[in-house]
Amino acid sequence: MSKSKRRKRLYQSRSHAMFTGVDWQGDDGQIPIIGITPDYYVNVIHAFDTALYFSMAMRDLPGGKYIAAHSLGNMVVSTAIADWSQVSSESFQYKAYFMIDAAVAMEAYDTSFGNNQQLVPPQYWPNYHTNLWASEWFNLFANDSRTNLTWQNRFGNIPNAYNYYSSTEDVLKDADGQMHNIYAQPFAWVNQEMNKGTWPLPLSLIVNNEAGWGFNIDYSTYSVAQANQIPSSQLQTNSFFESFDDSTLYDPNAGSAEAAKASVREKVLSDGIPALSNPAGGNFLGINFGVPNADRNMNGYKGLNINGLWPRSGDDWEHSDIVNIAYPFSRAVFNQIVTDGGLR
Amino acid sequence: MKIMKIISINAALLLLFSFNLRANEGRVTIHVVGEDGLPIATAKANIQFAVAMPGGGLGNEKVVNIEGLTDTNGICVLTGNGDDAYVGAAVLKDGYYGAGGYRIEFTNSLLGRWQPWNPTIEVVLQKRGVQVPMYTRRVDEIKIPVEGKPVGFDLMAGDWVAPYGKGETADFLFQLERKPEPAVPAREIPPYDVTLTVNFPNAGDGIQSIFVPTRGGHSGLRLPRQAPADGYESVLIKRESKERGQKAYSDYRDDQNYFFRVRTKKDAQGNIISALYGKIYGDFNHAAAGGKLAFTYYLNPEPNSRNMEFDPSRNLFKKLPSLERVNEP
Repeated sequence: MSKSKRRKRLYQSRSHAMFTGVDWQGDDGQIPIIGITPDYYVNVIHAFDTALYFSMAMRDLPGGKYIAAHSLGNMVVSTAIADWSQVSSESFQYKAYFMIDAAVAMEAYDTSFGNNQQLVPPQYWPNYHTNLWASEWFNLFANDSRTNLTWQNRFGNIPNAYNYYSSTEDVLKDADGQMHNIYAQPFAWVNQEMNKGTWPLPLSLIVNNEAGWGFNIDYSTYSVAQANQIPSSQLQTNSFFESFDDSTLYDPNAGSAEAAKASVREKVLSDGIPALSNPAGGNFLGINFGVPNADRNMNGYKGLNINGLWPRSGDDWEHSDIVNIAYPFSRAVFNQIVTDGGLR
Repeated sequence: MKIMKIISINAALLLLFSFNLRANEGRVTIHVVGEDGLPIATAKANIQFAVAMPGGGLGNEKVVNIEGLTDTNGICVLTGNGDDAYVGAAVLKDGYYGAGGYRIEFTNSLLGRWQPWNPTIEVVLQKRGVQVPMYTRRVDEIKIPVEGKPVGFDLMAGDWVAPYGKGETADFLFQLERKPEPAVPAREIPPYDVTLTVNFPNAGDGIQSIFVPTRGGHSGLRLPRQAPADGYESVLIKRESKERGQKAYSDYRDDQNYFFRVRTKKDAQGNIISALYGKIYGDFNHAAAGGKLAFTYYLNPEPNSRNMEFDPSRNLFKKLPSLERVNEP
């Protein structure tokens, strides 16, 4: 998203705040010319890694701070707030955090959104007990760092947050229990969750397959009934799903320490642990998330195409429309941001 | 001067796997009829394809409009090229409310053509009737002045009644009840239980639900032209709650709309001799949780008129802030 465009739009909506733009590497591996980025997961890792540096920058900026993040940028900011904002050496304060089109699983903020069966690949996995799933592997442990290998409550409630979402998203469209075209824009976020560990050729040449919804060939002779009887102790050392790349995670003695490493956790979460919840950028997070009543459905701030008030004849507020659509159509959202932040 | 900084993350999401290496051709037939089922000629039909453009992050997108006029059979066939596997569609015709929000999602491409090839979108246009001035306003999260007891709201004043505002006549009586929230660890979302009750001061006043899907094809006039003559309920209760670790419960619905009747006067036999009718687009907002009220209402000030066709150029509220303006008829 163009920083200058956002700054100008906020100013047009009477924001008198100073503006500091932040860039981070979210386009690693992007194919030139056509501008697409096949390996999403490496950029999720970058988002986690950037959080500390973002925190340091926040700490050093003077004045009251208001944060706005878009799409996967919310992984950066949510990580910074959850992991670093309270750490004494890097602590920072902020007055409001505007999550826009957040490409982050809802369960990362509230565990009650997890276990959404619509995100389970329908062909095989619904037949298997959930303790065989990669998303639930963390539940096999107690008092062990491997309990953190889950998206559930990764960030928790974020103080002073506002969730600017769209109920008519395309990229962040909710799962419907079906697999969708991996080359199409609608369901792109759900696609990356539901295809973890199972990317077909030619994408598997670019995208790492580990864990996720893949199957471990060690169990290829097991019937569903037999698989469902595998004891937890065995699953801890040899998962039913496709193995993690880092085999140390299965080590009874060293696995916990391995999972405690930030780099290991980030990689496993990004490409190996499927979320079982829809993205926050397409949904209502609940009235006590962030500030009370923090959810803002951007689709409700626009007019209808047939009344000349929205340029898309499909009348949807899609991903990145906050900048892709001209300001006269989208200004109500900027006005709301300025109002929520008290930025005039 | 307060120094503020907006830290903005340059998103760059990765639209991941969402590429098509070249545009495919798509064709759509639009069939337009009136409410009587007869075809409408010379209606302007429009479809839009999205064409991917190079750019940072997700790249950019260009929307390409393809337009045409319906023939004497109400048919218009439109063809274009797009990268994304869907098109939006809308129809406009003078003297009618436009119809839009139609969407065709293609399943796949075959030999450079989006499939299904040439699906038909059926569109029914509503004739514009008598559009009248109304009190129309998007109440934008105003604070409910007191909790635990009813507070009157004057729709013509757009404000709470005295002593909380400048309103003189209570049309709606809002009552907010909130159970105490238990303390929870810092990163956990606190449980809640909030109820907003809408009551009415006069016998015969009331509200009734009408549900309209928020997605898909729709007329520019969201609700029927006429408010119903009866079927109004004297109380509406909206509750939201969440127990610790459980999924939230909510009465609120995205497809919710209402008609209402206020300022009802009856004769000795109980017959209504005068009343004002109105409508609410959308639901009462979740703002109640924050002790605030948000909803979008239309009030026809002409007694006993059930006409719900609003003329957006004649709002009886003048100089509303931008977040409170309403442009839908």
